[in-house]
Amino acid sequence: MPSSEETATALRVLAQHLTRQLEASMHACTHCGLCNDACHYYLSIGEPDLVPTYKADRLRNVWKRNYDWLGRIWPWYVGARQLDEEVIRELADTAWGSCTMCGRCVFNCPMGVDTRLIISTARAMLTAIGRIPEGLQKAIATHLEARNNMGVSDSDFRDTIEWLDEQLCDELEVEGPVIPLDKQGARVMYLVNAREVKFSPLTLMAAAKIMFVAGESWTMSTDYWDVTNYAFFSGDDVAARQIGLWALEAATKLGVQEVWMSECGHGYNALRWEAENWLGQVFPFRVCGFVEPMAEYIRDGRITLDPTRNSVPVTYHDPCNQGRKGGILEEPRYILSKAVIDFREMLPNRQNSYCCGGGGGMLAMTEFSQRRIAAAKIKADQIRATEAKIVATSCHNCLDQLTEVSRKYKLGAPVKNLCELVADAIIWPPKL
Amino acid sequence: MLQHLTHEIGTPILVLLYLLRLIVLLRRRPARDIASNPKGELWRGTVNALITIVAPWKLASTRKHWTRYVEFAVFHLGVFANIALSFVLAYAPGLLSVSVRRLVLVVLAASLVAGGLRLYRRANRPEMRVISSPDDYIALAMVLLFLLTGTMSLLGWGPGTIAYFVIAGLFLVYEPFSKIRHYIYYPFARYFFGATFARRGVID
Repeated sequence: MPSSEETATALRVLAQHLTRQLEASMHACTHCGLCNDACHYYLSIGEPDLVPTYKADRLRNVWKRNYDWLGRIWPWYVGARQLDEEVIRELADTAWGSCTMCGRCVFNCPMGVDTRLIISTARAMLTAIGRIPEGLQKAIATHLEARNNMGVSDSDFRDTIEWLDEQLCDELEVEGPVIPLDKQGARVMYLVNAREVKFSPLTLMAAAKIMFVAGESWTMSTDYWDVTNYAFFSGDDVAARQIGLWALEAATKLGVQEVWMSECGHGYNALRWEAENWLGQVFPFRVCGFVEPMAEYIRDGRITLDPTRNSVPVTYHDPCNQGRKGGILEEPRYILSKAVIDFREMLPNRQNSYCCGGGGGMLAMTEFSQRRIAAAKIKADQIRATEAKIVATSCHNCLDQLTEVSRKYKLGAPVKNLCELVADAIIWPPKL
Repeated sequence: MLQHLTHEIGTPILVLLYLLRLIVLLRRRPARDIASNPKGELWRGTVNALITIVAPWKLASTRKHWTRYVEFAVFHLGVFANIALSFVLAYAPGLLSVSVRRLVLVVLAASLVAGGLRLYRRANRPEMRVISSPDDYIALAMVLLFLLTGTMSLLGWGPGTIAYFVIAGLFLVYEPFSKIRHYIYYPFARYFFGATFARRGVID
């Protein structure tokens, strides 16, 4: 049973999050069911309790009990429910385990109901009373402690960058540094996903190579370099704000004009669209996902690509946080049209792309792994239909999820970030 | 007499309750959305979001389930016609020429069929039953009854007319409490959707 203090805390968080937008979404749903087909969980698994409205109703019913006229006096009539242990359990299973907040249902709702907003409010309430999956909570705690979500120490970071720099200098046959650290007055500060430093340096090397070849004035900060923000998934606005603040401080200290992020869907959404709201101030620099300058480099002729170096069929998965919720929809297609020979679209795509199943911090919540993979069936079917031999994407969480999906559903298609394909296709040294 | 009572008591109650609802909504703080360098134009996105109701091809769900859109359009057209009919019968019955009467009858009959299909689907499909509360069934049943009595009234059946205005009166008072109130929130929810995603350059 939740203590009365827990209930009060959860309801207080609900009250704090009850903006005009949320209130309108609570009222406007007519339970028409048109959003059912929008959800990859429902389409892949087929259980009725996976339809978006049912999931939103786990919180909407609590809201009705506390705010709706009929719900307060006649709860059974409108399905209003008291926030008791059973409701909290259902809310937790739904908000953490069967919704990635991908927003596809939002785009398919004729009324404009923002189920994504409802679920993120539920997550904030659950986080406030400690009903947050351990893995997600650990990632946030590690981030707050070490200033990156993988707990990479400062010396390990410097050693890794030094080693990567040597590799790149050898490959490009140039004098370093290819990856400048703390370069005061650089135009761009580049943030990476912590897993690039710890496990997957190829992406960072590819991005560094692209920026070097383009002659970009850029740097990384040793004060703060992690683009991820898992508090964005948990609804912990205080932690999310702190993480955003570190990026702001590092960029301000270096005096950069732009902050670019490696290909990380939620990191992009958090820093590009949400951080200024959390901080209550407008950034004195431009924020970009790396896909945007990559497209600009190609368009402006700052890098030249040979698409024959990526000769197999390639398809592209739109990360929800960067595409549907972030607005980067055409740049990846432009890049692929120049970097590969045979680009094949999945259907549907762009705003209507299906979530891969790895969004919403799902990869950090191992207790829902089975459901996460089952929910990806629709995405696996989409990929299979293209007969692509490489799946390109632009997000580390999507990359991890799709790699697992490719293995489990026997798709035989490795997954790559866009910058890896671009780096492979770069003509260097330039032909005279 | 009854028809006048229905409107002169029911309508002010409805308006007052909706005003209260709107005051509650507008007293909530708006979510902050100050991200710099928006990628799209707000006005274009919000207009686009608001007109989706008459542009079903813009939504994948209505493109896919176009019969549901037709059903939605027919059902709501009938409801609006039926509400208008209650005012015409009360205050300007002379407007109901034979041809107008026939046209309204066709609209109401089609709306009844569409509403019936909606009720059937809600009661029969597991994915609809799990999201339905008594209000979802009763609100729809009440609208169907309203349409049915409107039809009977148009056909000139006396008891049908009495029932029609009794139901109309109940309907006016019940509406702001039930899910039927959704249309008051529609422009707000669509505007918020349009504003959020237009700034991000996702819709234009």
